[in-house]
Amino acid sequence: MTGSVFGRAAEPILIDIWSDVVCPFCYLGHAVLAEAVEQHPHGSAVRIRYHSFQLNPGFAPGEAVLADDYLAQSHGMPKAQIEASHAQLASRGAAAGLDYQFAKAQMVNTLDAHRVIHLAKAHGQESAMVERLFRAEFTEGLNLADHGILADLAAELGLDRAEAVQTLANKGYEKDIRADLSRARELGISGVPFFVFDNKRAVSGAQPVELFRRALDLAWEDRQTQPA
Amino acid sequence: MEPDVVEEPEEIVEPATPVAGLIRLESSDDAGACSPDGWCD
Repeated sequence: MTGSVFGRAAEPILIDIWSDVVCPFCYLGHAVLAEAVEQHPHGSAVRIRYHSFQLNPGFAPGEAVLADDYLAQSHGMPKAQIEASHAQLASRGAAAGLDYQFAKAQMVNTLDAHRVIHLAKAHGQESAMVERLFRAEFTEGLNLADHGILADLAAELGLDRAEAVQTLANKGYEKDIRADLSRARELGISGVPFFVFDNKRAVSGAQPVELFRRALDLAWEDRQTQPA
Repeated sequence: MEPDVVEEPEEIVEPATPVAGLIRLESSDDAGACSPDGWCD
């Protein structure tokens, strides 16, 4: 390696992520990727773009039910099985510094939460907004279909609360969200989280940190071997 | 003349792996993901 920062080596590693704020594995994947980026020697040269994905697009807008009840009712999953599954994920989450409180998590239609993420993106606060919404969902048990709560969370990050309220009332960023969903279909994404590195390599699911490090290594190696 | 048996059109199956030339990195570990029907495992 020459240490040159010209050509492709000067470009950030681009990571496109499809996720949903009610997806527990997306929260874990978000945290594990952040760990991998932090550990990587060129982690400062990474740019992350979030894309909307909806786990339950047919869920009634504005409504909220406890996620445990939703799983039991919609998938016929026994409570004991839900609790065992959650305990396993909570353990993985704790190792990544996450505090899952599954008993409080609420299932909602996340379209409006994605509007707020796109609003935050327009103000350079995309990652912070995604992270804040994950914590609101999985640690605090907030209702992410509630416009007042979404606007409060946006304001917490320094965004204009009135703009957030207006965005939600006007169904803002619909085109951007549809474009994200359409691209997910084009890529054949059948589950989230889904990560694409430099439009070349894909990682599906909340994989171990080693795999994310490997993806970053490969993306960086490409920069040394391919011309700009 | 109408045929006796009408063949059903072939079902269109979504690709299991991404298209557009993406190279998928896999791990032997159970990663965990959620699908559009709300199911996570």
